[in-house]
Amino acid sequence: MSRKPKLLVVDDGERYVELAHALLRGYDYATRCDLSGPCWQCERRPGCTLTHAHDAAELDEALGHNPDVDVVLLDVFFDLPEERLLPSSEPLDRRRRLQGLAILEHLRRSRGELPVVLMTSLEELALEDAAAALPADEAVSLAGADAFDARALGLLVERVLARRHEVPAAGGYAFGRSRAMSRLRQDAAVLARTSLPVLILGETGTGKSALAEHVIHPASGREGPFVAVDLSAIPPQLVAAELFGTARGAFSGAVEREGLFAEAHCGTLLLDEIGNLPPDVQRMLLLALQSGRVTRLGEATSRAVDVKLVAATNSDLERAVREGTFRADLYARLNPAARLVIPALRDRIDDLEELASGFTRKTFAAGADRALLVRYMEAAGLSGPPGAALAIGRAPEDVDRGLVFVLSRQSFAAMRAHRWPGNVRELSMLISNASIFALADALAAAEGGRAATAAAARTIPIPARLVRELLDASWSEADPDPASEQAGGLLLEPRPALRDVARELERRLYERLFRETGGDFEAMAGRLLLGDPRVNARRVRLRFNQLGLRARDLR
Amino acid sequence: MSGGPSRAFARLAHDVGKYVARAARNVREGEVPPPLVDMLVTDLYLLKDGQRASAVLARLLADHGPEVAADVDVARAVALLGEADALEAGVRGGRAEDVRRAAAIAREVEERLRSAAERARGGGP
Repeated sequence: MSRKPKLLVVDDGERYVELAHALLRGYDYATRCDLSGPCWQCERRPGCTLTHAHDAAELDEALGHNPDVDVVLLDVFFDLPEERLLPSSEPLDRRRRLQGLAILEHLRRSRGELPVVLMTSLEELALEDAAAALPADEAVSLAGADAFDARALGLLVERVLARRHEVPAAGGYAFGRSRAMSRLRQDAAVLARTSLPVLILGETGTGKSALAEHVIHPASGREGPFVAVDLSAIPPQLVAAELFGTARGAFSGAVEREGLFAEAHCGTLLLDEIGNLPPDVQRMLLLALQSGRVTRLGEATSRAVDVKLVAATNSDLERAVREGTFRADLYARLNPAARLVIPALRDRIDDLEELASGFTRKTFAAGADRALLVRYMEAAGLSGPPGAALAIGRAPEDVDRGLVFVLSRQSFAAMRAHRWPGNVRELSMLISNASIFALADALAAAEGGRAATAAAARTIPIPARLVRELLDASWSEADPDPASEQAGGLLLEPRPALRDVARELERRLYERLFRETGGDFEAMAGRLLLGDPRVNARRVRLRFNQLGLRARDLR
Repeated sequence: MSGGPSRAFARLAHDVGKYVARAARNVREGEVPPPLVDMLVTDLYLLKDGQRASAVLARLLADHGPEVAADVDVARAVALLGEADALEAGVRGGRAEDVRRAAAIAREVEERLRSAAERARGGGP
């Protein structure tokens, strides 16, 4: 029987825990007492103060008793004596009013991945405070006005639990705590609440679309969908139809279609690679921004649309304006004065360790990679919930759950010195590849009867040679050369070594096979290797990852 | 209490409106479970430091100028909590009719105080 999810309530009073115990009985609850059984059936319940955590110290105590907590329900206002509040230079009234956010920060340092539901709403939380804590952090949700509605709260908890088991979207900004990223997140949340368009600039792989999806859209408070389109991936002659829709017969073969503006009504529309917008569509977009109305191709009447427009690009739009390839009036309309510039990873290298740790967790959060981790734990005789963490230098001495991948200090120093042309996307791939290959080696050893002792088996060293090879190969993952892509993937720019040429060709072969088989690794194995495709599929999948390919990027 | 009228209305909505409706939000059709009745009693008659919700609201209003108490929604909330006080014996006894009426009152008090706060913030009619 699977265990019930375990909730931990953190509230200075009894209201939330009473409500949860009375009406959300499908969960276990983390308490600070040693008795077993549901709290609400306990004879000592009246007057008991061990039912939940009332402050940060009790939160630590409760987590010590209950390392398997799944979700924390956290109040924000804590009407407590000063000595029970976390230290801060803020005035006492403000410290009490925002103590929940201080506890959240405290919790992030010790259990950064643990989902938290803040029992408040944006109405009760000043925007600048919300921006500091929300919603860039995907582990934090707002219960809002439904905090006391058990049915709504239960649904929110279920969504949080479901999200925990998904592979989060790419983009490492959410895990960066450098001053630049904190400020960026704050600015993004503030801009999200305005009616103005938002322009995001940044190198490839810095997480522009992730910023739009995970910060701006949620902070906008809009109830409509988040819709994204990569304008560089649409043939220029089809862009207008894609954005604004078509009436049947607008042109040869045109069918009834609403268009992305209509699809994003009451939500957010991200126009990625806005620099690729054809001139005639630039004019149409300008008209739409000015009037708040769009006209489908082939129709005479316009329709009102309410869309939060976000535009992103890694090209130099100002230069494009100067060169006459991008309309100056449209550029001005995109609110360039308040543009958000996402720093390159090399410019916030102090975020590297945190980002790498986050990507390690994400790699094994779901899917085939998680299955591989589970298989290893079974082969090595390890118990407990599957999970992965990253350590630099050496592993903690008392690892008693999940696995810890260990990067040597030399490897980490090499990573800090790397220029990361592909930014956080490149880092994500490197971490995935390195950890999966290290795990595959450990699995082969365990299945071959060469397992380490139980304690040592929880520690998986990532070979320095592997990290070096991946860093050396990284240049090929940043910007594929369009000319060679058009030449059927066989023409390459000269590479430093023959092994690099071979690797690039192999990478393109895998890309092509992935597309031709619809992402079926067994089918790919059948075309690449002799023997049973079902057996060989895992090897093909591993090689696919090692080559820096990600299934979701190719689908 | 510090802060302008907007802050005062926000405080009423938070300290009284939000908490008074905790159990009431969960009262639905059919039988009301006993734990919910107990919570409703707490919310209406033991809201803060053993004080009734009506007394907590009155104390907060005393801290502010007459314009806060004169607000139409706030005045209605005061009257509603007076009505809830009159139902106390029936609610404590679990009388279904009184429990439902008290829950409806609590929900309306929250709506009124939230509405007043939104208007004061400039977000409502």
